[in-house]
Amino acid sequence: MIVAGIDIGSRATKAVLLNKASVLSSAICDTGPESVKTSEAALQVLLRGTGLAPKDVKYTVATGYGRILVPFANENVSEISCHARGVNHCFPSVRTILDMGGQDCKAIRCDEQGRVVNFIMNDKCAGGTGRFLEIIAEVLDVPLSGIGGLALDSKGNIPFNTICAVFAKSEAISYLRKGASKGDILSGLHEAIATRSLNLLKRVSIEKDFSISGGIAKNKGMVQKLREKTGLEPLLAEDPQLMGALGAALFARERGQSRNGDGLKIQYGYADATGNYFITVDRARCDGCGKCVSVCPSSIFDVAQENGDQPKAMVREEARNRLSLLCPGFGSCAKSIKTNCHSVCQGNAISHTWDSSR
Amino acid sequence: MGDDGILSSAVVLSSDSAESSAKAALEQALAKAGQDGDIYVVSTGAGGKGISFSRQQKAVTTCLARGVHYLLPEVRTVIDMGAETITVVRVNDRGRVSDYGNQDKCAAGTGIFLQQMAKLLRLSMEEMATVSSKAKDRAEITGTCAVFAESEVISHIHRDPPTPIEDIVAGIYSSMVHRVMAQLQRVGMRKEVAVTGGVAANSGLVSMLAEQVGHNLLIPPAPELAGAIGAALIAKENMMQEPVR
Repeated sequence: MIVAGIDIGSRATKAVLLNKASVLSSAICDTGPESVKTSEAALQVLLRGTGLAPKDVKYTVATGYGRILVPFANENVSEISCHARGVNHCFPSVRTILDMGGQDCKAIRCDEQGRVVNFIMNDKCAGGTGRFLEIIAEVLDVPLSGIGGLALDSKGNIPFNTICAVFAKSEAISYLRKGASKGDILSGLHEAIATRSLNLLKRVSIEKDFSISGGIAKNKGMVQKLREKTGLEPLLAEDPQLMGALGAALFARERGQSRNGDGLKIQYGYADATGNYFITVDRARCDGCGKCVSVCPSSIFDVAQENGDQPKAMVREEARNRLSLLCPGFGSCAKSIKTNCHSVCQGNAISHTWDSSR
Repeated sequence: MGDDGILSSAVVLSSDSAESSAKAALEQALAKAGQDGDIYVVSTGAGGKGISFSRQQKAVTTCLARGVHYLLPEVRTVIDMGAETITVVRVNDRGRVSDYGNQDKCAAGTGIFLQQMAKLLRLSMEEMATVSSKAKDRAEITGTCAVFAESEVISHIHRDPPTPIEDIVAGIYSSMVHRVMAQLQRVGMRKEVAVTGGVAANSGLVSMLAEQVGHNLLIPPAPELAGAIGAALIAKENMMQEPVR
């Protein structure tokens, strides 16, 4: 059976074609403004030279942020599951994955079968994403592919005290005017991003065998900084950017396998340049009573069913991307509101991590 | 500032060198007042540390509290919206800081963010302020990151049909107001409330903020000068305390 996985990221679209035993072909192209056209173009590139037609592909799983818009996909799977699955296929020993993409960065923890145990995603702040590196490359007038090498070769290291892409850009310009070398500026920025990524990794805990996936994993300067920061040798796939698409293709091959959402801790929230804001729901402890839904003054919670599991508490979709604006953190909230989401929860399933003093 | 109050003021765009910017501003202010010679200078702000002719440097929050207390004595909470920071200061009845919160790590919601958005929409700050009053709706702009907000605004412009520009501006303001409110909630608010900093000159934004705060907001004349006035007041106090040589 021939199957395909397609990963429509914010900047690049990746696709992998699999048969029963091995990878037949792969493709990487830019994500255009229309995901439908992009996905069709990627499929064409994928099939080129294989002698296969689109109808020969029996099952397709789409992932990535544009996954809903793939017309020929049989199923959608989140890119987090796909990255874990893809990396697990290449390196079964890996338990911690750092996925560095075009507009977000994720730290993923998985089990021995490549199932996601825990993850943290930062998609609310451009700091530390591919977009950040693009902005900096543009300011310094260096091609994107060249920045990692320049950072690697530099001996100096200019400390950047910001991770905000807007502030970093103006800081970089002012260093350039003062005569600092591009390499030293890049080295400092790579260092700042590596530190930030390390913080994400620490939150899911790092194990010895860890891997980096996503387009930034091809940046040698970044990989070196992460090697220094973690003190570990990252396992890198031949093409780390393809891991999500590979995982999607593996899911396609195993269609129908039921996944179990119980026992999973889900962290809702984000880390932006002002701090970390996460609400964790322990799905094993949550009985879906819904008391948290009624006590929260900002109506952050909801109880809903996912993938046919038991109904569980979760943070409402609309609240997820502005959590720090809606919730002042448990400490501040509990001072004035005695009946709160912690006190009403029988199983202690909800916890807040608010760290805005970074 | 002299014995009878403010003599003159000057606003200069900060350049790479804090020293030369500070010098230019001081020279302008002195020229306007027709003064020269030995003056006692207290510096404050992001570049306040590197000024050679400054006798003392003070925290922005201290200066803001003092300056606003001088201009508007009834104020207990100051929201300062600067180019790169959002600061909320609670002021006591003697013009001292009782609590504060400062956001200077992220460009979302700051003056730079607003400037960047104005540039993107090809509007001047004044045009932006007037345009927003015509808005019937607010475009959805998350506003957790200035870079991502830019792509959100671009997609609003290219939507079919395109989102009206006044709604986009209202959405931009709304995202900034959210950030300010989050900071305000953390520090806590007491009446009266004043808004200072360069962004306070934007009437459209301030009226939307007032709506959210649920209370009238006071804006001192030349809101961007509040910190400098505070610094001058501290300089005057210091001079009085110093023994005459």
